[in-house]
Amino acid sequence: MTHVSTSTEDLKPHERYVPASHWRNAYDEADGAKLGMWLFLSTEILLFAGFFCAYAVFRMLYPGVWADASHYYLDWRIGGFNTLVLLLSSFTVVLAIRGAQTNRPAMTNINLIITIICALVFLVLKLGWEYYPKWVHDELPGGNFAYHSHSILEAGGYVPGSHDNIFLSIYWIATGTHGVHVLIGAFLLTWCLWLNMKGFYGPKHYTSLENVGLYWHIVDIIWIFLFPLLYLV
Amino acid sequence: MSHYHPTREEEKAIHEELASQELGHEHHVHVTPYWPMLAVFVTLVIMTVVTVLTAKFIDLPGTGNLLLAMVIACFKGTLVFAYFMHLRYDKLLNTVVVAASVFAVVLFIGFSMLDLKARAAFNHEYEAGEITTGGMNRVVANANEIAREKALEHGHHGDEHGEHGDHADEHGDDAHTDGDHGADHGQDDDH
Repeated sequence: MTHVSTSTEDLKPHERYVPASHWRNAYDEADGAKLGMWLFLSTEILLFAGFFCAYAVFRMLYPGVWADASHYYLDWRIGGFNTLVLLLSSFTVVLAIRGAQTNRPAMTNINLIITIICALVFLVLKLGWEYYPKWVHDELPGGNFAYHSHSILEAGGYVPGSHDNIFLSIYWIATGTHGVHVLIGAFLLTWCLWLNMKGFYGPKHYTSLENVGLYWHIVDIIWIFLFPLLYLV
Repeated sequence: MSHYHPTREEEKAIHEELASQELGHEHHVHVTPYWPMLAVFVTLVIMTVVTVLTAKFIDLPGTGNLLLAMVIACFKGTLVFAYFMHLRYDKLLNTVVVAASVFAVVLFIGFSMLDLKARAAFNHEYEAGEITTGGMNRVVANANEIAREKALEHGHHGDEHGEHGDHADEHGDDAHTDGDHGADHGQDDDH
């Protein structure tokens, strides 16, 4: 047995990581944590399923209103750009994990920073170019919604449907909940960046980085569905 | 009797020993490959462009555009699940968890749609007079009817104490001035 070192002080945190005593080894521990993450992500899918179901039901009840409201209130260019931003951020998270697996902390750092920037770009576009103008024009969910004559003129004769507020309610709640997830993801990624800078991630231990990555990917997947449903079709 | 506490180094050694005994070196972690992931990313970007173009420039009949967009989105989602989220390289159990969740979503939305369609058919026949309300609906309708009648009676014959006997005596003037109040008690009496 040659692996008993006299001191672990000179090792990095990920090198001297010891799994909790009820696990056989670090691999099993990471595997268990990952399964737990997947169970949580499945509840996330079910949470958003409620919004998708509401979307489907009201689209079925008011198909015409749905198509008009989608094209009038939302700009597909912003949604499309945000889709690309999220896809890029998903790819960089993959690379960040690869950096940990191949013991290249700099690669993890850079990719996490790019991911966080992408998250911020997404939020800034969402808040500044979508939520704020809607807020100003009272294009708000439910009872806060109000029609404005000037917006009818701007739209070149678009006559608002009598159920636009339902579309906007679903838009606000679904994208709002998604936006909160992006915000939480940005904080989690920053936490991972901090841990990585302190040397906590290496080939044998990167559990929290991988699980935050999984969370980030599910946020991306939800947007992959929200974007065409709300902005395009 | 004192308990022996291993130091952290000793604990680590024990863990590594157990790990090497039980699993050997077979379970090395799958390292995320670079080029397949880049290919997946490029595919996702292309599919995003495709979904925008098809939605903007191709006009399919009925819900064709919606279905096409959803097929593309499902394809993209599957790619993210399988590659970016490592399900392809992971234990099957993780895939089972996701599949169960997606199955629940399909049931949820699918049956909601079926319900809505069936309801439309039902409403149509109901309006055409082919179906009459029954069950709880009838009970509720009757209760409302009775309540309305009571309220009307109280309103019209407010001074005639004799007609409502005990009822009016119990509540004094309230029963006459407050129609709803009287109606509530009328319902209670019927039950």
